[in-house]
Amino acid sequence: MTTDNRDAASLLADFRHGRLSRRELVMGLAALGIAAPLATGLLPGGSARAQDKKYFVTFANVLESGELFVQLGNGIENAAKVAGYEFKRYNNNFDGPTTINNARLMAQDKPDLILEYNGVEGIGEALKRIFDDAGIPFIAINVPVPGGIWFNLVNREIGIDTAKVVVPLAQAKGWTAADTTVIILQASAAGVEVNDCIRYFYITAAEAMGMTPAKPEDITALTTTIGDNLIQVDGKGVLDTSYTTVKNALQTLAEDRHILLYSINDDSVIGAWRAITEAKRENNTIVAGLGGSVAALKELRENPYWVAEGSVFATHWGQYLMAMTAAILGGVTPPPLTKSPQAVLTKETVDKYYDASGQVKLLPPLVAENMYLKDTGILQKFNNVEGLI
Amino acid sequence: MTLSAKGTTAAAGAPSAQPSAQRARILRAGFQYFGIGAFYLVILVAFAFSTQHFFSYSNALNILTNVSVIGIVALGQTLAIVSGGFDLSVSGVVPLGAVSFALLTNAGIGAPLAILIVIGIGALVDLINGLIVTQVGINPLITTLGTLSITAGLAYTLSRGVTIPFVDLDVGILAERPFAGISYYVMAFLALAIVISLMLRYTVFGRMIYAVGGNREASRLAGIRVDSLTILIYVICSALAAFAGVVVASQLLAGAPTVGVEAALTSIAAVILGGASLTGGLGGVGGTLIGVLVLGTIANGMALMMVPAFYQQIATGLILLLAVGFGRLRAVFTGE
Repeated sequence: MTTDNRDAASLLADFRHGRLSRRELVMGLAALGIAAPLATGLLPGGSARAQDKKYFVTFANVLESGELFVQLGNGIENAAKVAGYEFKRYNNNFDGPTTINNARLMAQDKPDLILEYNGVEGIGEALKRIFDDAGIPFIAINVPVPGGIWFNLVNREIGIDTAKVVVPLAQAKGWTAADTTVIILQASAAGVEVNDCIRYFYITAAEAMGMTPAKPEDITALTTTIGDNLIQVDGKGVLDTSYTTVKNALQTLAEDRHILLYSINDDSVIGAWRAITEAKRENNTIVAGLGGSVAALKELRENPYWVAEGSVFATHWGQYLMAMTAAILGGVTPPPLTKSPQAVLTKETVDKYYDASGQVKLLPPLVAENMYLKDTGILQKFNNVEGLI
Repeated sequence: MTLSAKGTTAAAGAPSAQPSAQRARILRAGFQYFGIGAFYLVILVAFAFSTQHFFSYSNALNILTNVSVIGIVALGQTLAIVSGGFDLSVSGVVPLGAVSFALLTNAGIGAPLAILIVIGIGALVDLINGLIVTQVGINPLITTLGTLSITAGLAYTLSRGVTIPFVDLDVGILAERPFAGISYYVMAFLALAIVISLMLRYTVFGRMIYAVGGNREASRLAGIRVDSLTILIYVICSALAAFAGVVVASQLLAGAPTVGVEAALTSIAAVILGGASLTGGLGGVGGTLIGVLVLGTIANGMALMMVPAFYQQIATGLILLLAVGFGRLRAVFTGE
């Protein structure tokens, strides 16, 4: 222990003289087997408890327009305040050159950790080089960046969980593979990961109901039908295109055909649902949304045909990212993917997580892989995670 | 009124006393309307044989419903293009109109008054466009691109980026179907088409639009108040785009900042398909209607045939190129 401490002290001296980056320091301490509380205690600026450290964090938001991204950014900024961290925010503007420029500016800021929400998948290597050269650890939000610690929702699991809610309800009505078609709305330009939710929704539903089976690779952006059981249209994730494409698709379905309707986001489902009601086919339809928007939560509460709503609680990602920051800088090695909170809400559970105005009042419990976040004590400061209150 | 040769002959819809000009006009009209009309017939027949669901009353209504929003925008765009300009800001005005209508009606304002206010907002946008184009002398491309960005940003700001469902669903009265399954907004679209077509063809105002598009300077020398006319055309164009925003909100029973973002390019494509020229002086409502129907029918037919969306985009692009090529052929045959 004495030897370890002396080595740790020399590492710390190197760090203070700028010969060692913070990440190298943390990795060095971790290699010495020093426990996280001791390691964090060696870092300057606070006590031994990770939750009491005052780190400096920079964040590049993917875009600073559109409520989802603005609220996500505001949520992260607010979470940094609650955690007591110094914070600086950039706007990547969904643009490669801006993102790279921001990465350089953030590297100049010399923060303890960088939160990178990059919307341009192909520039990951360039970002990695900038952050590596600066020796600053970083968390990649949503879109993976090589070398970064990844934080993201898992669309595949949401699709599977939604199908597990929807299918029993369809079967309870006596619907079978012979008389039911799944209509899914993709956003073809959004890439494979985003569309995983609808692909796995069909795969799970098909398996449970005995529909024409499909493997993930069978449902691509170019897939339009699978037997009589699947119709995939491209709603582009927006209201009006989803409405129009589903209106067209309904022309090909017999009036008495049952429909399971699902899409990659709430706007798209709402547009599609409007086409269903206009065609007076709601009695033969079960619908599930994804996003947890105010409008969709209202549908879940009031519309008898809207039976499930996937939510990823994006406005509250900030507190998880602050907990990750504390853990990483405290010497913890996170799993390859730290999952964002997500849950498929039903009519029975919606009031548990959202109040009547659509504000989050409770977050789902941590999954097993995320339990390392609990040890930082950061999430407890927010007093809103089930199991940590 | 004295116009240059180009100004006179370019006015496709305007009658001429000279036999040669009359012959050229008929030839041009033949190419313009019958050409694209025949092309549309070919499409109809091809889809009717390709998919059993295509040739039905409900699908015909479906196509009409689907093209109504872009059709209303295209009517205004026709005026802008015939006069030698175009208006990109409609892509911002449509979502701004949809969001404004949802917000106004949710605030308790009745649908008729809300529609008028929204149309007023749209008119104001292009009053600014028109003033910048005519008084400051900035190119319509740059001007309307700028106002596109501003109006789209306003739509996001007002809605905070989220969809705003109607609190009272009755305000979506335009989507009601009082007769044979035809909604009020489809009727409004067809009525507007008739009114604008008559206006273009049979009024002095309409003929001045063709004249200005044919030769702006000659029109000015002939005594036409070109700047005022240009501003008025932009105002009408944007007012129609705002009304299209009301229509799309009524269709969806919600306003959203993401709706109608392709309105500018699609409406310009429809107008060009219908035989108009981006240099002005040519085109008309009949051609635009067929252009809108061609685009809507192709999208519908390919959807019924379950053609992937990517291929639909390619096909639409190819058809647009074909139409432009056809326009070049027309120019060769008519000696324009």
